[in-house]
Amino acid sequence: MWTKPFATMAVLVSVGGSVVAPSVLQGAVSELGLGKPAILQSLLRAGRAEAAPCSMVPNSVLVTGAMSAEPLVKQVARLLAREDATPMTVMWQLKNSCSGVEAVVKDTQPGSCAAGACAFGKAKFWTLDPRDLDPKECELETRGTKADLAVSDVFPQTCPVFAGAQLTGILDIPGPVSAYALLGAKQSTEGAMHAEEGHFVFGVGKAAGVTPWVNDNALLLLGDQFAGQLLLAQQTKLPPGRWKGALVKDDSELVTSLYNDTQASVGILPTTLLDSRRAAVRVLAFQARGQRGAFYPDRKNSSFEKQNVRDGHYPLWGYMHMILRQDPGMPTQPLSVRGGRLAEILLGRKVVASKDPVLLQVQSGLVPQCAMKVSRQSDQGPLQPLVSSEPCGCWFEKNVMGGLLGCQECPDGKTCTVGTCRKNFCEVQ
Amino acid sequence: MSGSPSTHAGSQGQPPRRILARRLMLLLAGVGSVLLVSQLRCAEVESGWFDDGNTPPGSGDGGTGGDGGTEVRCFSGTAVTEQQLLNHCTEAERVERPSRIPTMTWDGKTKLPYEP
Repeated sequence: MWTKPFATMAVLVSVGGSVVAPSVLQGAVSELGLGKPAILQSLLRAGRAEAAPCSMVPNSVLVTGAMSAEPLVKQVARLLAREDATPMTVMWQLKNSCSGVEAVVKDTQPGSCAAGACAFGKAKFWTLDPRDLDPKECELETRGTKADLAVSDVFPQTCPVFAGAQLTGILDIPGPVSAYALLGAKQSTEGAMHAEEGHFVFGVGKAAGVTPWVNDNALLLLGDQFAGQLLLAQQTKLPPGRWKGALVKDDSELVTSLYNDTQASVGILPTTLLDSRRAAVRVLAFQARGQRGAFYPDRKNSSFEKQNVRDGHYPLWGYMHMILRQDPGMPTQPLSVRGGRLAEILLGRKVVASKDPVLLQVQSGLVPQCAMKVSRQSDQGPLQPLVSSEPCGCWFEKNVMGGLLGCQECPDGKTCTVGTCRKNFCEVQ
Repeated sequence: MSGSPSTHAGSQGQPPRRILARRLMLLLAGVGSVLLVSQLRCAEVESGWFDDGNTPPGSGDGGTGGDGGTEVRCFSGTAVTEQQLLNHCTEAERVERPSRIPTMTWDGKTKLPYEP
């Protein structure tokens, strides 16, 4: 039952990491009339700076995967917990695209976790309490907790572990576009990288002599389960097992290194996590093979409208896929109903707390498919022109910082001299 | 009939036929060159490739001149292939510079060393 018990737990867990004495907690719990010994024990453990078990989180849905999804998951999770008429608690475990995919694709045994399947360790969740700006942590089952949904910025077959495999029993639904940017050191004067240079820099390293990237320890990698590296691998023609460099723990470590390091540093991050930290790094333009000149994801180094991603000048991007297990009885439906609902919201198909879910994608730094003028059939496939049946490029520009505002508006929802009125803008293909 | 005006070419004060023929050839060659260049330009227009800064007026997608005065060719037609999309004329900021791969490392033509 979602209401008082969980509201209480949320408040109590919110002090879990602090120095609240167990006796104080015990008193508080007694006062609130929570008599179940298991709950009490768990909350007391929380009072001793241990995370409560995730199994206690009511109406929970466990989602895992790509770091690029965190801003969107965070927004949706808060709305679902605090403002939606049918609340749900999103538990989020940040992994990387391919680990997330693996957790779902390998989860083939009902009632238990097969090798490589499920999620372990801790998950974040957002409480009912609007004062809680940061998520809390809970402890997943020691034998593993089944993931309801995985989010990946690459097709499952791009992951080294599933390369060339025919995957069965899953639903793979490509969602909004997630762009990736090559980053140089803050102090660097280098402004671009060519795809062929990337092949040598990351494949051969210092010995290749491609300046300024002549320090193998300054090639900052998040690993070959990370979508950014896999997408760059496609463009540079450098297979995943061939990469040289120094592994970094997460996006924060990468940004810190780039901020402090010298000319030679280079890394890659999703723009959903980068755009708010541009002052700390230098975004490098990228020149694909056969391209004349290098381009940023955006029209300019200083803008945010992802114009070059959207019109085909910038190929370092992937669809944000929703990966779910199929219901064996109804293969078009997800096995996890909550996972399916969350996927629909993240895909922009279902409203959450009366908010436009496509606008949430835009506010999280993603590009809705309706704003794209190009598409791909696979991560290996070429860019192709896309004529969207319901284009939203004008609306998208209106909703990003510094977007172009040249489109005609149609406040009555229908009248356009040119194009078709969609979301109060005259969209012209 | 004597005293009638001569119709003989090459009479005094007029260029000889040989010179006229040479001038005619030069003129024809000039006209031919102009035609050839215009045909090449027409072919270029049809294929959609332009030097940036030389896109057709009203195309609505004019390119920008290359850095340092170097003109960069862009595609202004309806892009269908990936190469055409990547090189479509755009007003977006472009970073132009030569490759930093030393020629001793790679000649720029052969297959990349780890390319599958």
